[in-house]
Amino acid sequence: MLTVKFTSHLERFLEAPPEELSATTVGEALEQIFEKNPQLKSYILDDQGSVRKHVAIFIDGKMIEDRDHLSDAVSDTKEVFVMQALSGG
Amino acid sequence: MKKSALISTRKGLFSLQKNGSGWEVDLLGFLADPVTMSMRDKETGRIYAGLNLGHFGVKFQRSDDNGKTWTEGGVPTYPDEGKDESGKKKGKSLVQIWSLESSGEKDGLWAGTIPGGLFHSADGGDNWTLNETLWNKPERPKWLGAVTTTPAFIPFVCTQKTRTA
Repeated sequence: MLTVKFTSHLERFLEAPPEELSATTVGEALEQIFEKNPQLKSYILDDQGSVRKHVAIFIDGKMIEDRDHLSDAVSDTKEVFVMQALSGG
Repeated sequence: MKKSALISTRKGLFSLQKNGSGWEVDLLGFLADPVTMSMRDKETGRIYAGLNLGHFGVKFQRSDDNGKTWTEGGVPTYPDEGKDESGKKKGKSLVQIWSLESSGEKDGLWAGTIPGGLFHSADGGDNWTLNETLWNKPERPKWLGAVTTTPAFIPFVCTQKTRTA
């Protein structure tokens, strides 16, 4: 089991509570959450299913490598954290 | 008719209404969020707004009560175009809703976007369909870009009024 947590910045727009689940890749983990909360998907992924440019995903504190296909393994993971990258505005 | 205008800004959506000799300014929503385009449907009074949230992408919202409550619709999405030799996805991703116009049908909309796509919605912005005839024009990638580094965008959408009473 691992926990997927989302940045609290998302709360301004929609609910994204932490979820406990089992998955082998970070993509699988997110897809389980998007099935329950389809609106959240467009906040995290772009039209082509890649991670949005200004969103960062960490697996136990380490940033994921495959932002296009989300194939990074999470089998031995405690926490996946989805946060907003730093950018000006 | 009372003179009014919608003002889309980087920090929210405002309305201006002629009030005697001056203008009354009201915040209609999205305080601190970039609104790139807005439109009031002249027939129904509904307001549509396109947003570009810095981190979380382009969003589309509508209000039937002059901004008191908003409902999130869908956004135009570009087709999957497979991958290039290095495995990178070739398909485009929506950068901005640049123009918005009623199509003349009830709840019908046209949106011009960056990258340069023309999208139609028949349901007030829940579902969008890319106009492929325009998208597949061989000269499209050479259209002039502006404001952003993305080449090709749809700067204006003009419709001829065809609705009959």
